[in-house]
Amino acid sequence: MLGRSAALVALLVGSVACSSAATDSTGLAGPNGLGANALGPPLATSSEVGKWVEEKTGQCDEVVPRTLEEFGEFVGPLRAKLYAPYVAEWATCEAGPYERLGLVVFQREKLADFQNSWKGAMSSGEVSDNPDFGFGNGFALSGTLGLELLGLHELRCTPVVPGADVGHTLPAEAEGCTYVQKPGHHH
Amino acid sequence: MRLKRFGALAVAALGIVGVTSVFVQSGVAVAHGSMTYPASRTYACYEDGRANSGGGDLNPANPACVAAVQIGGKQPLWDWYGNLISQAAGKHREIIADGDLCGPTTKYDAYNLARNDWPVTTLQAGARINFKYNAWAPHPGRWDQYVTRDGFDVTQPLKWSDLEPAPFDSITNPPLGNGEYSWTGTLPNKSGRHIIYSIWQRNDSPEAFYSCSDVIFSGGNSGGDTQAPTAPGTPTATATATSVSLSWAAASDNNAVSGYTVYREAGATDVAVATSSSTSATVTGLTADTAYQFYVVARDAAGNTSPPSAVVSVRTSTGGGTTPGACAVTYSVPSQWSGGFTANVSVKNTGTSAVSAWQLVWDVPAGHGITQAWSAEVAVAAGKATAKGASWNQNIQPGQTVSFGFNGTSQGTPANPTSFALNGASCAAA
Repeated sequence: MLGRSAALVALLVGSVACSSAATDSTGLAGPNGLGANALGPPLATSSEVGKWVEEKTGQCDEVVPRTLEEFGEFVGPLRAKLYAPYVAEWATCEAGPYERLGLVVFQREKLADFQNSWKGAMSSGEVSDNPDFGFGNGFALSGTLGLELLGLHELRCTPVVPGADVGHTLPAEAEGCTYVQKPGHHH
Repeated sequence: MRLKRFGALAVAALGIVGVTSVFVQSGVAVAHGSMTYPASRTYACYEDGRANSGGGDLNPANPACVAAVQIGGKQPLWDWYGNLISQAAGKHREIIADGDLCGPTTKYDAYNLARNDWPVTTLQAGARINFKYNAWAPHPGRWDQYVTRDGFDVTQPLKWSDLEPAPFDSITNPPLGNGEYSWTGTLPNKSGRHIIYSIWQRNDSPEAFYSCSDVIFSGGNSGGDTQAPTAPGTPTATATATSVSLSWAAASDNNAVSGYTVYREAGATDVAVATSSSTSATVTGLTADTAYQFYVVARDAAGNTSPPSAVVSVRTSTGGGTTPGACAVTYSVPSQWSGGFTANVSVKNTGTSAVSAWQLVWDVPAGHGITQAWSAEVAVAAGKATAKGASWNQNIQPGQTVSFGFNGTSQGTPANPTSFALNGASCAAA
């Protein structure tokens, strides 16, 4: 169990160093443009995501394609309602500590709609917090442990508190949403 | 290949993050996750799901677990150790609403279901047990275990007021072994159905973890002591620049009062700053010319806690700053380059009382500057550097170490500062 848990745990421990170098003087614009395009390599299939995670962690070598019905079973009906309409495909693999890590590829052209939908759900009280995946360029992982060293970001669609230490921040596709990579954070 | 890759990442990681490497080097045990004994709801449902599936899936049989999966899916069970708030910073009662204690985020919300059929662990009231908490990753911090009050109804949403006001068990940086933290604690003398609510607040980050363990207390002392002590008298206070001495009239109990805990009011979550077996205590490590409010809670041997005493307000005096302090500072320069360097600083509270809102001051060596700091705010004025803890590490419990770092400039080889003062009191060099 512990052996399997090691890879992403190791990643999270080394998470601090990645952010500042990728953030420009404004703290907003990334070198590759705005939105998810600034979040690293564009991955368009769940198998690509799996290979990328394997390169990074040495795990996730058995990627199991999953159906959207299974996605609903995985995240439950509420989060499925918010995520699934914008998911192109997804799969799972094992990458410690995650026995079942979701590799989720989004419909890139619908990322803004996805973010606006989530904002609306928060405004109405349907959900209480931001999306709980770790986001990359067109894809996300269901677990966020170690996301910084993987280059992944949180997606926040809530106002940033003035003066808050938000770390590496990039504007997301929808107005009012940002991709955030907070130093030292790894949940 | 995998081991090699993992090793390289781990070594690189430890070299990057000063806080982590400090704790690894010192051998202090640290963790990440959820309580496994007595089992948290997510862990119990995960194990139930494993036991009732043919492998490779989670299909719990327990009706409460089944209901939770229907609402929140299986991911919270696969990720049973991730019930957390990343920016909690000790403000648990401020940011978690009544009814949300067991699952404060959308992902884990189903684990707030007010049902009486969650998997339970039967425990002997008043017994000493080994609490177990899984350890995915090294993080220092403090664990507080609360129990629900007598008369608690598990079919009603769990509220903060359902918990006894003080934790019956607390520990900082418990020992780590075999992939889990384990420490011995004494259970409260309760009977029947209760919830043990555990909060793990990391002190190297604002992140905090929450777990509800459903338990049934049995046995113990037949007709055991469930009567709480009376409230202690209102404390009287005498202040210096950095400490406050408190004394109060004793509480009474049907058996005996076994001790007192002094709390400092600190917004939504008050902080235990001293314990005493007598009716007096001294709180040290305070900031000069600052107002504080304290109150006292009594406890008996069965773990019953009294109502809080009235609050005493006191202001520390101005001045001084020459009192020898119970602190030790480690200063290291892990890397340097032409014209610059990185410094890591660890501050240990070697005393017996918490240090609140810490500030560390040192003379900046001639020709040196500070350009960027992390895990603390560092300002330089008149040749002195002042580091202030961040919101999530501003208090240092006895025996605890906080760490921060900064990048600096220097002309030539960087020189180490020769002395440090914590909240006005000089520190030993570790």
